[in-house]
Amino acid sequence: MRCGGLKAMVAAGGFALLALTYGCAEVPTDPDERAAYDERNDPLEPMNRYFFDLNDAMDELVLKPFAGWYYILLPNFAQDGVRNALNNLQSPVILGNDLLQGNLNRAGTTLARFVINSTLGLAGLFDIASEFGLIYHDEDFGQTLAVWGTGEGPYLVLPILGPSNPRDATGRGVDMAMDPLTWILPAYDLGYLGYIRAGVDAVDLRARNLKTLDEIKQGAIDYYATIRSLYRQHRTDEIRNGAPPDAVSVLDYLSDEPQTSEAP
Amino acid sequence: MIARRTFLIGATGLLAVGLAGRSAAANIDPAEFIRNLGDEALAQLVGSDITKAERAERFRKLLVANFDVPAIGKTVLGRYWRTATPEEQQEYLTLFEDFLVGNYAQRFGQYAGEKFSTAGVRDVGDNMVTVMTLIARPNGQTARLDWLMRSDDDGYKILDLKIEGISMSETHRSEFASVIQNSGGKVAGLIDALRKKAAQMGTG
Repeated sequence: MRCGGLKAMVAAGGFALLALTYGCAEVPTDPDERAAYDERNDPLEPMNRYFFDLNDAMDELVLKPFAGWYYILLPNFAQDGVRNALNNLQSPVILGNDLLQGNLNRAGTTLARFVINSTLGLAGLFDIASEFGLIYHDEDFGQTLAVWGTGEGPYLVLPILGPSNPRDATGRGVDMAMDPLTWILPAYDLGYLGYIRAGVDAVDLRARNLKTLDEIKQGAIDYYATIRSLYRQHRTDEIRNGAPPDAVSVLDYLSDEPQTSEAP
Repeated sequence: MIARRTFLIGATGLLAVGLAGRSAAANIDPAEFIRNLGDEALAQLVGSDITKAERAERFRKLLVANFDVPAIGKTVLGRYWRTATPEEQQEYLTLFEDFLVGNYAQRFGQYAGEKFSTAGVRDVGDNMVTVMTLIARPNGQTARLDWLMRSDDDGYKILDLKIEGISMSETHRSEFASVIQNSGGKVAGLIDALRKKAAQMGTG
């Protein structure tokens, strides 16, 4: 049932053929295995693993080499300038989502940062605002949906874009629509600048994770499952704006196994 | 007179030392524990002059002394701990320690200029506390590291480490669950994968 509904949704997303080819993971009947299946929350795992491998191969071939050269050739201050400018360009979307989440304090920070960094910071190349204690934070519509109470839905690996879920994928689309540049650039026949921005963003982000991702991949016994867990935990942390989890969940997690207190 | 005074001073001095020693062992401040561990890790593991094997060995000693590795191992195995045979449990715990050494020991080689500070301690009940720390990178960015610790008669043992809200135990728990599920629900499949990884990483 669950899987059927999903298939319809994926079909709407244009992956119909692939979903049919790779199918759904089987739903187990054993209660213990069923609990494990629900925890994994990945009914499209076969298809997701296919795209994960594909993305990983493209990363090795294209993105990682680019990011490697970027990391080696560009001095640190230039890389920081690129990241600052990209963050500054994202300000309208962050501001919109701060407001949609009813967080006026953070909206104020984002607005002040945008004004200061766009002017004193030379079009965002320098993060002057953080010198005034206005520290950067990220926000997107996927997080806004979560704050509004929308569940994440099953795990999805999107082609090229990577780990996601229906909530965050929807959020991506809304963020794009929210971004003034999405509408302004094509109006002046500068639509290609949008692609350049997305490309630079991907390369810079990848360059910042060269070693980390290599170490994770090398050490993991299931790279796919590790990334799936990292993505979910990272999103949960972002949604909570870094606030610590409720003490209860920590205890729940540890008391999962009653024998944790004594050695075997 | 002088002799007596000297004796008294000596006695109180000894008493003070004795008390200080006792209180330090029984209830050392958890933030202090983490600071000491941080200093020790920096002193022992950082630097390019240490060979990989040496760093792995030093890391293993720090890991076993400061982390409750068996408890973490059980939590990470989760519901499958019950289904494993005693022999499997034993072998799993040994391999789990190797796995942690293989995954984390060499990450200390490249650290340079990071500043470590404690940002607070939160009581989470059941003799457990979370020590919140911040690591300031040379480029100005900071990372949050939260250490979940439990106290017993011997002092503190670390149960989990969260980096920017991402839990080490939780990550490996879902990773291991996936491996087990893909080997037909058998813990033996996980043990096999861990053994291969240990051989590949040279940590066995």
